[in-house]
Amino acid sequence: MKKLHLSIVTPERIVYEDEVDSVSVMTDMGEVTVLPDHIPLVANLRAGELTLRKDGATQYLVASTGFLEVRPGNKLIVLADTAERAEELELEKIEEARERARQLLEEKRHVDDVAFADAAAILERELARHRVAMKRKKYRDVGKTS
Amino acid sequence: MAVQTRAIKRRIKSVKNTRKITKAMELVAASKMRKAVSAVLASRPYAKLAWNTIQSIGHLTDTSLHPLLHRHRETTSVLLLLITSDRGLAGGFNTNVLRRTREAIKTLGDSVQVNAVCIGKRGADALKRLKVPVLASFLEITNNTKFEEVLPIGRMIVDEYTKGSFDKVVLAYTDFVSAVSQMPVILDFLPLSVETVKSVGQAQQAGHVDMKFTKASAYTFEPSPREVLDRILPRLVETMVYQAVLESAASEHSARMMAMRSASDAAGEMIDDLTFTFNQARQAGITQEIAEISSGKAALEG
Repeated sequence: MKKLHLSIVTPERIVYEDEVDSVSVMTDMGEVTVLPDHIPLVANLRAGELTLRKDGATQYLVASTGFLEVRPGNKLIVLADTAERAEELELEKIEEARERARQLLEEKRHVDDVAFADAAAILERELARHRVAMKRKKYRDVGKTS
Repeated sequence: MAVQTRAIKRRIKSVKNTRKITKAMELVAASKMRKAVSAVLASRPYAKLAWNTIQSIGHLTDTSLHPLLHRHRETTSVLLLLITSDRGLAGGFNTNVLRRTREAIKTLGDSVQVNAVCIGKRGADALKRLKVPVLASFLEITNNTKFEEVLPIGRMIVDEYTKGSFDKVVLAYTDFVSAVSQMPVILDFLPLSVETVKSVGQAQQAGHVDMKFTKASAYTFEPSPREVLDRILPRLVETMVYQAVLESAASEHSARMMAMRSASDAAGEMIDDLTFTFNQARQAGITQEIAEISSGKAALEG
Protein backbone atom coordinates (compact mmCIF):
# COMPACT_ATOMS: atom_id res chain seq x y z
CA MET A 1 0.00 0.00 0.00
CA LYS A 2 1.14 3.50 -0.75
CA LYS A 3 2.38 5.58 2.11
CA LEU A 4 2.61 9.26 2.73
CA HIS A 5 5.88 10.79 3.84
CA LEU A 6 4.98 13.22 6.60
CA SER A 7 7.29 15.83 8.12
CA ILE A 8 6.07 18.16 10.82
CA VAL A 9 8.57 20.96 11.26
CA THR A 10 8.62 23.98 13.58
CA PRO A 11 11.26 26.69 13.62
CA GLU A 12 12.78 25.03 16.67
CA ARG A 13 12.87 21.38 15.67
CA ILE A 14 11.53 18.56 13.56
CA VAL A 15 8.61 17.19 15.54
CA TYR A 16 7.69 14.21 13.44
CA GLU A 17 9.01 12.50 10.36
CA ASP A 18 7.77 9.14 9.16
CA GLU A 19 5.74 7.23 6.60
CA VAL A 20 2.02 7.30 7.46
CA ASP A 21 -1.26 6.18 5.92
CA SER A 22 -3.30 9.34 6.36
CA VAL A 23 -3.24 12.71 8.10
CA SER A 24 -6.12 14.95 9.18
CA VAL A 25 -5.45 18.61 9.95
CA MET A 26 -7.40 21.80 10.51
CA THR A 27 -6.98 24.43 7.81
CA ASP A 28 -8.61 27.81 7.27
CA MET A 29 -11.14 26.12 5.03
CA GLY A 30 -12.01 23.34 7.46
CA GLU A 31 -10.59 19.96 8.30
CA VAL A 32 -8.64 18.24 5.56
CA THR A 33 -7.65 14.61 5.41
CA VAL A 34 -4.71 13.83 3.20
CA LEU A 35 -4.36 10.34 1.79
CA PRO A 36 -1.61 9.03 -0.48
CA ASP A 37 -1.83 10.34 -4.06
CA HIS A 38 -3.43 13.58 -2.97
CA ILE A 39 -3.10 16.37 -5.54
CA PRO A 40 -0.50 19.06 -4.76
CA LEU A 41 -1.93 21.50 -2.26
CA VAL A 42 -0.84 24.48 -0.23
CA ALA A 43 -3.10 25.54 2.61
CA ASN A 44 -3.02 27.75 5.66
CA LEU A 45 -3.07 25.81 8.87
CA ARG A 46 -5.20 26.61 11.84
CA ALA A 47 -4.48 25.84 15.49
CA GLY A 48 -5.97 22.46 16.13
CA GLU A 49 -5.61 18.78 16.33
CA LEU A 50 -3.55 16.81 13.89
CA THR A 51 -4.44 13.17 13.62
CA LEU A 52 -2.28 10.69 11.83
CA ARG A 53 -2.93 7.06 11.16
CA LYS A 54 -0.19 4.55 10.65
CA ASP A 55 -0.63 0.81 10.32
CA GLY A 56 -4.02 0.92 12.02
CA ALA A 57 -2.78 2.94 15.00
CA THR A 58 -3.87 6.55 15.52
CA GLN A 59 -1.66 9.26 16.92
CA TYR A 60 -2.68 12.71 18.04
CA LEU A 61 -0.63 15.86 17.79
CA VAL A 62 -1.50 19.45 18.27
CA ALA A 63 -0.29 22.13 15.90
CA SER A 64 -0.75 25.89 15.89
CA THR A 65 -0.95 28.18 12.88
CA GLY A 66 1.28 27.56 9.91
CA PHE A 67 1.10 25.94 6.49
CA LEU A 68 0.58 22.62 4.95
CA GLU A 69 2.07 21.57 1.67
CA VAL A 70 1.34 18.41 -0.24
CA ARG A 71 4.05 17.79 -2.78
CA PRO A 72 3.98 15.47 -5.71
CA GLY A 73 5.52 12.15 -4.81
CA ASN A 74 3.39 11.61 -1.71
CA LYS A 75 5.16 14.12 0.47
CA LEU A 76 3.30 16.06 3.10
CA ILE A 77 5.02 18.91 4.88
CA VAL A 78 3.49 20.67 7.84
CA LEU A 79 5.19 23.91 8.80
CA ALA A 80 3.75 24.95 12.13
CA ASP A 81 4.71 27.66 14.60
CA THR A 82 4.51 25.14 17.39
CA ALA A 83 3.61 21.48 17.41
CA GLU A 84 3.61 18.84 20.09
CA ARG A 85 2.81 15.20 20.34
CA ALA A 86 -0.04 14.37 22.66
CA GLU A 87 2.41 12.58 24.97
CA GLU A 88 4.27 15.83 25.53
CA LEU A 89 1.23 17.73 26.71
CA GLU A 90 0.64 18.33 30.38
CA LEU A 91 -2.95 19.02 31.26
CA GLU A 92 -2.35 21.18 34.35
CA LYS A 93 0.03 23.45 32.57
CA ILE A 94 -2.31 23.80 29.61
CA GLU A 95 -5.23 24.70 31.85
CA GLU A 96 -3.11 27.34 33.48
CA ALA A 97 -2.03 28.71 30.12
CA ARG A 98 -5.60 28.70 28.89
CA GLU A 99 -6.72 30.80 31.84
CA ARG A 100 -3.87 33.19 31.28
CA ALA A 101 -4.80 33.47 27.62
CA ARG A 102 -8.45 34.17 28.55
CA GLN A 103 -7.41 36.94 30.91
CA LEU A 104 -5.10 38.41 28.32
CA LEU A 105 -7.93 38.44 25.83
CA GLU A 106 -10.16 40.33 28.27
CA GLU A 107 -7.43 42.85 28.99
CA LYS A 108 -6.67 43.49 25.36
CA ARG A 109 -10.28 43.66 24.21
CA HIS A 110 -10.36 47.42 24.53
CA VAL A 111 -6.70 48.19 23.94
CA ASP A 112 -5.95 47.66 20.28
CA ASP A 113 -6.83 45.32 17.47
CA VAL A 114 -3.42 43.80 16.92
CA ALA A 115 -2.92 42.84 20.56
CA PHE A 116 -6.44 41.49 20.65
CA ALA A 117 -5.85 39.34 17.58
CA ASP A 118 -2.61 38.03 19.11
CA ALA A 119 -4.35 37.18 22.34
CA ALA A 120 -7.14 35.46 20.45
CA ALA A 121 -4.60 33.38 18.54
CA ILE A 122 -2.89 32.36 21.78
CA LEU A 123 -6.20 31.37 23.29
CA GLU A 124 -7.10 29.36 20.22
CA ARG A 125 -3.80 27.52 20.43
CA GLU A 126 -4.26 26.72 24.09
CA LEU A 127 -7.82 25.51 23.49
CA ALA A 128 -6.58 23.18 20.77
CA ARG A 129 -3.92 21.86 23.11
CA HIS A 130 -6.46 21.34 25.81
CA ARG A 131 -8.76 19.41 23.49
CA VAL A 132 -6.02 17.04 22.45
CA ALA A 133 -4.76 16.60 25.99
CA MET A 134 -8.28 15.78 27.22
CA LYS A 135 -8.76 13.26 24.47
CA ARG A 136 -5.51 11.59 25.32
CA LYS A 137 -6.43 11.45 28.98
CA LYS A 138 -9.65 9.70 28.11
CA TYR A 139 -7.80 7.06 26.13
CA ARG A 140 -5.25 6.58 28.84
CA ASP A 141 -7.96 6.01 31.44
CA VAL A 142 -9.69 3.50 29.21
CA GLY A 143 -6.39 1.67 28.94
CA LYS A 144 -6.08 1.55 32.73
CA THR A 145 -9.47 0.01 33.43
CA SER A 146 -9.24 -2.74 30.85
CA MET B 1 68.62 37.88 44.75
CA ALA B 2 65.86 36.71 47.06
CA VAL B 3 63.86 39.78 46.09
CA GLN B 4 63.98 38.83 42.43
CA THR B 5 62.87 35.23 42.93
CA ARG B 6 60.00 36.37 45.11
CA ALA B 7 58.80 38.74 42.37
CA ILE B 8 58.91 35.98 39.78
CA LYS B 9 57.07 33.63 42.11
CA ARG B 10 54.27 36.16 42.56
CA ARG B 11 54.03 36.60 38.82
CA ILE B 12 53.73 32.85 38.23
CA LYS B 13 50.94 32.66 40.77
CA SER B 14 48.99 35.44 39.10
CA VAL B 15 49.34 33.92 35.62
CA LYS B 16 48.22 30.58 37.02
CA ASN B 17 45.07 32.21 38.37
CA THR B 18 44.41 33.84 35.02
CA ARG B 19 44.78 30.49 33.34
CA LYS B 20 42.26 28.97 35.72
CA ILE B 21 39.75 31.65 34.77
CA THR B 22 40.26 31.38 31.03
CA LYS B 23 40.09 27.59 31.27
CA ALA B 24 36.74 27.82 33.07
CA MET B 25 35.43 30.30 30.52
CA GLU B 26 36.52 27.99 27.74
CA LEU B 27 34.58 25.10 29.22
CA VAL B 28 31.48 27.23 29.74
CA ALA B 29 31.67 28.52 26.17
CA ALA B 30 32.13 24.99 24.86
CA SER B 31 28.98 23.73 26.54
CA LYS B 32 27.00 26.78 25.41
CA MET B 33 28.33 26.27 21.93
CA ARG B 34 27.12 22.71 21.81
CA LYS B 35 23.63 23.85 22.72
CA ALA B 36 23.68 26.70 20.23
CA VAL B 37 24.96 24.54 17.41
CA SER B 38 22.27 21.93 17.88
CA ALA B 39 19.66 24.72 17.88
CA VAL B 40 21.06 26.07 14.61
CA LEU B 41 20.94 22.69 12.96
CA ALA B 42 17.42 22.01 14.21
CA SER B 43 16.01 25.23 12.80
CA ARG B 44 17.57 25.05 9.36
CA PRO B 45 15.02 22.63 7.80
CA TYR B 46 12.10 24.96 8.53
CA ALA B 47 13.55 27.90 6.62
CA LYS B 48 14.47 25.62 3.75
CA LEU B 49 11.04 24.02 3.49
CA ALA B 50 9.23 27.34 3.80
CA TRP B 51 11.27 28.74 0.96
CA ASN B 52 10.60 25.66 -1.18
CA THR B 53 6.90 26.25 -0.69
CA ILE B 54 7.21 29.86 -1.79
CA GLN B 55 9.07 28.76 -4.87
CA SER B 56 6.35 26.35 -5.84
CA ILE B 57 3.83 29.14 -5.44
CA GLY B 58 6.08 31.41 -7.47
CA HIS B 59 5.64 29.17 -10.48
CA LEU B 60 1.97 29.94 -10.58
CA THR B 61 1.53 33.49 -9.39
CA ASP B 62 3.20 36.80 -9.90
CA THR B 63 5.10 36.96 -6.66
CA SER B 64 6.56 40.36 -7.44
CA LEU B 65 3.22 41.86 -6.50
CA HIS B 66 3.68 41.10 -2.85
CA PRO B 67 5.18 44.05 -0.93
CA LEU B 68 7.88 41.92 0.66
CA LEU B 69 9.13 40.80 -2.73
CA HIS B 70 8.69 44.09 -4.51
CA ARG B 71 11.92 45.92 -5.28
CA HIS B 72 12.03 49.69 -4.73
CA ARG B 73 13.55 51.59 -7.60
CA GLU B 74 15.62 53.98 -5.52
CA THR B 75 17.21 53.38 -2.19
CA THR B 76 17.13 56.40 0.08
CA SER B 77 16.70 54.84 3.48
CA VAL B 78 18.02 51.58 4.79
CA LEU B 79 17.28 49.66 7.93
CA LEU B 80 20.25 47.82 9.32
CA LEU B 81 19.65 44.81 11.52
CA LEU B 82 22.88 44.11 13.36
CA ILE B 83 23.37 40.98 15.41
CA THR B 84 26.25 40.90 17.87
CA SER B 85 26.84 39.52 21.34
CA ASP B 86 26.07 41.08 24.71
CA ARG B 87 29.46 40.31 26.17
CA GLY B 88 33.00 40.74 25.02
CA LEU B 89 36.00 38.44 25.40
CA ALA B 90 35.05 36.53 22.30
CA GLY B 91 38.14 37.12 20.23
CA GLY B 92 37.46 38.91 16.97
CA PHE B 93 33.80 38.00 16.91
CA ASN B 94 32.24 41.44 17.41
CA THR B 95 35.13 43.31 15.81
CA ASN B 96 34.80 41.38 12.57
CA VAL B 97 31.09 41.85 12.11
CA LEU B 98 31.34 45.52 13.09
CA ARG B 99 34.14 46.13 10.63
CA ARG B 100 32.06 44.64 7.83
CA THR B 101 29.12 46.76 8.97
CA ARG B 102 31.17 49.98 8.91
CA GLU B 103 32.38 49.16 5.40
CA ALA B 104 28.83 48.46 4.28
CA ILE B 105 27.57 51.76 5.68
CA LYS B 106 30.41 53.57 3.94
CA THR B 107 29.64 52.00 0.56
CA LEU B 108 26.01 53.05 0.83
CA GLY B 109 27.16 56.66 0.74
CA ASP B 110 25.93 59.86 2.37
CA SER B 111 22.74 60.12 0.35
CA VAL B 112 21.29 57.08 2.10
CA GLN B 113 19.77 57.44 5.53
CA VAL B 114 20.76 54.47 7.69
CA ASN B 115 18.77 53.46 10.75
CA ALA B 116 19.60 50.47 12.85
CA VAL B 117 17.97 47.81 14.94
CA CYS B 118 20.43 46.00 17.17
CA ILE B 119 20.41 42.63 18.76
CA GLY B 120 23.20 42.48 21.31
CA LYS B 121 24.76 45.20 23.43
CA ARG B 122 28.12 45.42 21.67
CA GLY B 123 26.61 46.36 18.34
CA ALA B 124 24.32 48.96 19.87
CA ASP B 125 27.25 50.61 21.65
CA ALA B 126 29.39 50.64 18.53
CA LEU B 127 26.66 52.17 16.38
CA LYS B 128 26.03 54.88 18.94
CA ARG B 129 29.68 55.80 18.64
CA LEU B 130 29.29 55.89 14.85
CA LYS B 131 26.29 58.20 15.29
CA VAL B 132 23.93 55.84 13.51
CA PRO B 133 20.41 56.24 14.92
CA VAL B 134 19.39 53.07 16.74
CA LEU B 135 15.63 52.58 16.55
CA ALA B 136 15.50 49.60 18.83
CA SER B 137 17.97 47.50 20.72
CA PHE B 138 17.29 44.00 21.99
CA LEU B 139 19.49 42.70 24.76
CA GLU B 140 19.87 39.40 26.55
CA ILE B 141 18.17 37.30 23.92
CA THR B 142 21.13 35.79 22.15
CA ASN B 143 21.55 33.11 24.78
CA ASN B 144 19.29 30.08 24.39
CA THR B 145 16.91 31.92 22.11
CA LYS B 146 13.28 30.91 21.74
CA PHE B 147 11.34 31.55 18.56
CA GLU B 148 8.74 33.61 20.42
CA GLU B 149 11.45 35.96 21.66
CA VAL B 150 12.57 36.82 18.16
CA LEU B 151 9.05 37.10 16.75
CA PRO B 152 8.52 40.77 17.69
CA ILE B 153 11.76 41.76 15.94
CA GLY B 154 10.74 40.09 12.70
CA ARG B 155 7.27 41.51 12.96
CA MET B 156 8.57 45.02 13.53
CA ILE B 157 10.80 44.78 10.46
CA VAL B 158 7.98 43.49 8.28
CA ASP B 159 5.64 46.23 9.52
CA GLU B 160 8.15 49.02 8.95
CA TYR B 161 9.03 47.70 5.54
CA THR B 162 5.46 47.28 4.31
CA LYS B 163 4.65 50.76 5.63
CA GLY B 164 7.35 52.01 3.32
CA SER B 165 9.58 53.56 5.99
CA PHE B 166 12.57 51.85 4.41
CA ASP B 167 13.49 50.87 0.88
CA LYS B 168 15.79 48.12 1.93
CA VAL B 169 16.61 46.05 4.98
CA VAL B 170 20.18 44.89 5.45
CA LEU B 171 21.13 42.16 7.84
CA ALA B 172 24.55 41.95 9.45
CA TYR B 173 25.38 38.85 11.43
CA THR B 174 27.96 36.09 11.75
CA ASP B 175 27.38 32.87 9.91
CA PHE B 176 28.39 29.73 11.74
CA VAL B 177 30.57 27.62 9.49
CA SER B 178 32.31 25.43 12.04
CA ALA B 179 33.72 25.66 15.54
CA VAL B 180 36.93 27.17 14.22
CA SER B 181 35.54 29.32 11.46
CA GLN B 182 32.83 31.98 11.55
CA MET B 183 32.05 34.35 8.76
CA PRO B 184 30.67 37.86 9.20
CA VAL B 185 27.98 38.41 6.58
CA ILE B 186 26.20 41.48 5.23
CA LEU B 187 23.02 40.53 3.49
CA ASP B 188 20.32 42.38 1.57
CA PHE B 189 17.43 41.01 3.55
CA LEU B 190 14.31 42.72 2.21
CA PRO B 191 13.00 42.69 -0.45
CA LEU B 192 13.29 38.94 -0.29
CA SER B 193 15.12 37.16 -3.03
CA VAL B 194 16.34 33.66 -3.71
CA GLU B 195 19.90 34.60 -2.80
CA THR B 196 18.82 35.95 0.56
CA VAL B 197 17.20 32.79 1.74
CA LYS B 198 19.85 30.54 0.32
CA SER B 199 22.65 32.35 2.06
CA VAL B 200 21.39 32.30 5.65
CA GLY B 201 23.14 29.26 7.01
CA GLN B 202 24.52 28.42 3.61
CA ALA B 203 27.48 26.52 4.99
CA GLN B 204 25.52 23.40 5.68
CA GLN B 205 22.60 23.95 3.39
CA ALA B 206 24.41 24.08 0.10
CA GLY B 207 23.38 21.37 -2.29
CA HIS B 208 20.12 20.66 -0.50
CA VAL B 209 17.86 22.66 -2.76
CA ASP B 210 16.13 20.19 -4.98
CA MET B 211 13.30 21.83 -6.82
CA LYS B 212 12.92 19.63 -9.86
CA PHE B 213 9.67 18.05 -8.84
CA THR B 214 7.69 21.24 -8.42
CA LYS B 215 7.88 22.03 -12.09
CA ALA B 216 4.59 21.88 -13.97
CA SER B 217 2.72 20.44 -11.04
CA ALA B 218 -0.69 21.94 -10.62
CA TYR B 219 -1.01 23.19 -7.09
CA THR B 220 -4.27 23.85 -5.33
CA PHE B 221 -4.32 26.75 -2.91
CA GLU B 222 -6.56 27.16 0.06
CA PRO B 223 -7.87 29.81 0.39
CA SER B 224 -5.87 31.53 -2.43
CA PRO B 225 -2.24 31.96 -3.49
CA ARG B 226 -2.27 35.56 -2.32
CA GLU B 227 -3.56 34.71 1.12
CA VAL B 228 -1.08 31.89 1.50
CA LEU B 229 1.72 34.28 0.53
CA ASP B 230 0.45 36.89 2.97
CA ARG B 231 0.88 34.40 5.72
CA ILE B 232 4.00 32.59 4.66
CA LEU B 233 6.25 35.53 3.74
CA PRO B 234 6.20 37.37 7.07
CA ARG B 235 6.71 34.03 8.74
CA LEU B 236 9.72 33.36 6.56
CA VAL B 237 11.20 36.72 7.52
CA GLU B 238 10.71 35.93 11.21
CA THR B 239 12.24 32.52 10.74
CA MET B 240 15.26 34.00 9.04
CA VAL B 241 15.81 36.53 11.80
CA TYR B 242 15.58 33.66 14.25
CA GLN B 243 18.01 31.65 12.19
CA ALA B 244 20.44 34.57 12.01
CA VAL B 245 20.29 35.03 15.80
CA LEU B 246 21.02 31.34 16.29
CA GLU B 247 23.88 31.37 13.80
CA SER B 248 25.29 34.38 15.55
CA ALA B 249 24.99 32.79 18.99
CA ALA B 250 26.71 29.62 17.82
CA SER B 251 29.48 31.72 16.28
CA GLU B 252 29.84 33.82 19.42
CA HIS B 253 30.31 30.84 21.67
CA SER B 254 32.73 29.15 19.28
CA ALA B 255 34.73 32.34 18.93
CA ARG B 256 34.82 32.76 22.70
CA MET B 257 35.85 29.18 23.17
CA MET B 258 38.70 29.53 20.70
CA ALA B 259 39.80 32.85 22.20
CA MET B 260 39.80 31.37 25.68
CA ARG B 261 41.65 28.29 24.53
CA SER B 262 44.44 30.34 23.02
CA ALA B 263 44.50 32.51 26.15
CA SER B 264 44.91 29.39 28.30
CA ASP B 265 47.63 28.11 25.99
CA ALA B 266 49.44 31.46 26.11
CA ALA B 267 49.20 31.46 29.90
CA GLY B 268 50.67 27.95 29.99
CA GLU B 269 53.61 29.02 27.87
CA MET B 270 54.15 32.07 30.04
CA ILE B 271 54.18 29.92 33.16
CA ASP B 272 56.82 27.64 31.59
CA ASP B 273 58.96 30.64 30.70
CA LEU B 274 58.63 32.18 34.13
CA THR B 275 59.38 28.90 35.89
CA PHE B 276 62.55 28.59 33.82
CA THR B 277 63.64 32.12 34.72
CA PHE B 278 62.76 31.48 38.34
CA ASN B 279 64.90 28.34 38.48
CA GLN B 280 67.77 30.16 36.82
CA ALA B 281 67.58 33.00 39.31
CA ARG B 282 67.38 30.60 42.25
CA GLN B 283 70.35 28.59 40.99
CA ALA B 284 72.34 31.79 40.41
CA GLY B 285 71.63 32.79 44.00
CA ILE B 286 72.80 29.44 45.33
CA THR B 287 75.97 29.50 43.21
CA GLN B 288 76.77 32.99 44.39
CA GLU B 289 76.27 32.06 48.04
CA ILE B 290 78.58 29.06 47.69
CA ALA B 291 81.17 31.25 45.98
CA GLU B 292 80.91 33.75 48.85
CA ILE B 293 81.28 31.05 51.51
CA SER B 294 84.21 29.33 49.81
CA SER B 295 85.98 32.62 49.15
CA GLY B 296 85.40 33.66 52.77
CA LYS B 297 86.85 30.36 53.94
CA ALA B 298 89.81 30.72 51.59
CA ALA B 299 90.47 34.20 53.05
CA LEU B 300 90.45 32.80 56.63
CA GLU B 301 92.81 29.92 55.75
CA GLY B 302 95.13 32.17 53.81
